[in-house]
Amino acid sequence: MITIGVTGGMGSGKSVVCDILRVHGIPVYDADREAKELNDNSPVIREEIIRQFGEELYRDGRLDRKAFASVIFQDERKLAIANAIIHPELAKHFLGWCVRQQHHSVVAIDAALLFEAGFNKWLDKVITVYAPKDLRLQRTIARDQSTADHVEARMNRQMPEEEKIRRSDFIIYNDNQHSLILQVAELLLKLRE
Amino acid sequence: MGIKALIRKWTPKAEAYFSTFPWKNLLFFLLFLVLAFIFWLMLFFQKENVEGSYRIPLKYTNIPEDVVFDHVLPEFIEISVADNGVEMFRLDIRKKDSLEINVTEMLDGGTTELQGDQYRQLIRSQLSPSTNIRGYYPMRISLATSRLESKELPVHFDGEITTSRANLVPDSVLFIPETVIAYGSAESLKQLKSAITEYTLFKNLKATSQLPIKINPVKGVKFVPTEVEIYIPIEEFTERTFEIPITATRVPADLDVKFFPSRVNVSFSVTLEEYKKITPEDFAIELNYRDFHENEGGRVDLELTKRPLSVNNIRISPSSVEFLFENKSGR
Repeated sequence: MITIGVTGGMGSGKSVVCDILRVHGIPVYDADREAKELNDNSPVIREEIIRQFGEELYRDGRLDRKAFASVIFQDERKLAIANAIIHPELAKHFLGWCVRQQHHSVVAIDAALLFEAGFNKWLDKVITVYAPKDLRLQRTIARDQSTADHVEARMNRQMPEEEKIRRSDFIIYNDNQHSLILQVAELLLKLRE
Repeated sequence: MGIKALIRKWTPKAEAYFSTFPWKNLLFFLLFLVLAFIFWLMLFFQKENVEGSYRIPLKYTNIPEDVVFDHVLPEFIEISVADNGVEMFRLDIRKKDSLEINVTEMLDGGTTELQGDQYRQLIRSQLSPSTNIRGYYPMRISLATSRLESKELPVHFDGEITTSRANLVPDSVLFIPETVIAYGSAESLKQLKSAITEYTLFKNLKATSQLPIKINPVKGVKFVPTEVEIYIPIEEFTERTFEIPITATRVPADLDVKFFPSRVNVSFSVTLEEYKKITPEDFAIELNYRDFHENEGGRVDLELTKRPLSVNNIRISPSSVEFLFENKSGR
């Protein structure tokens, strides 16, 4: 079984590429969605978050994401602690998921912070979905109903696109000039060769 | 040598000269000059037959809307008169009132040419009863007219309207009145479908405005009125974005179509009043399979097939998407 990681900056179009992979019958692990589930339901994560940041972050059995974000994103040290709690559990969960997908020849993980969380260690190949910054800015502003300044500030906190591209095995260009469907089809052919 | 130095040099000399000037003699001279002028005036006033020429402006009033004059109307008349000195002096210094010609009254009375006694009486109304009219020019004024055809025309705006950043013109502009009457020959009116305003730029409007605007003149045509008011409704607006799914219709039963992405952002401007009334369900992007299934490159341009009338400035992002057909039987 080949495991591939799909990453990219905000507004790059990772989810669209993952949709195309699903059409090809490739199961895709949505890291963001699964992390949210684990934050609510994993006893290990819950215990550690309460221990490090206080039990007021959990309301009605669920993590108050807004409150949690306001705690960890203001402080680099706290962010590192939170990542150190969540990422290993997420990685374990992903690997368990991969075992359940053994009957598939290819599986994928959709993770915006793939390199930052160190997931590339467990993956056979990494794809970065690339779009020019202006286009990513435009898409994110429309999607999140946010302002240009706010989105740009969030983008600047992420790993630079050039670094992701350097560390990837494949680049998919989502710039409205190249066909995503064709690029994914070619990529899958190469993988299967 | 500077000006100050020159003044300093010549002041004592001027003072010396004027101190010896015969002021008394000058005053006596002026006094007698004034007396001489007064005596001259008295002699002038006593004269019986003083002649003079004057120019009197002409003012044409009550001109019917649906006529055009066959000849060019004179703007003034020259008159030659005689009277005693006093009256002539009064005529000299008095401001010349316009001689008013009431065109409708003349035409209704059957006068198409002002001449003879009627004309002289009109001139006399500007003069004192004792004044003799020696002559006048022009000796006749033609009031002959031709009747014009008329046509009611809607007013259309020519120009640009721009608003300040957070404002929008939500509806079309209105005109008050909405139509004007055009008078002209049958030939010139045949080609006219509307009365276009003069090109006008309304810049940076911040609030609903009602402003005067002129009708653009057309050769050989008279518009009544020549100016209307334009009502420009302005409302404050805001931007909103919804995520809308793309759907396909008339897809063959054995096929499934997938769009990438399957949902797009639709951004638009809407007035504050309408903002809360609008929901994503008011928008739709429905693509007819027959229209796109053979598109080269597997890409289709998007446009809204359903949208509320109250929104403006609609943008779809992305503006086109890729598509794939899946054979249902192959699953």
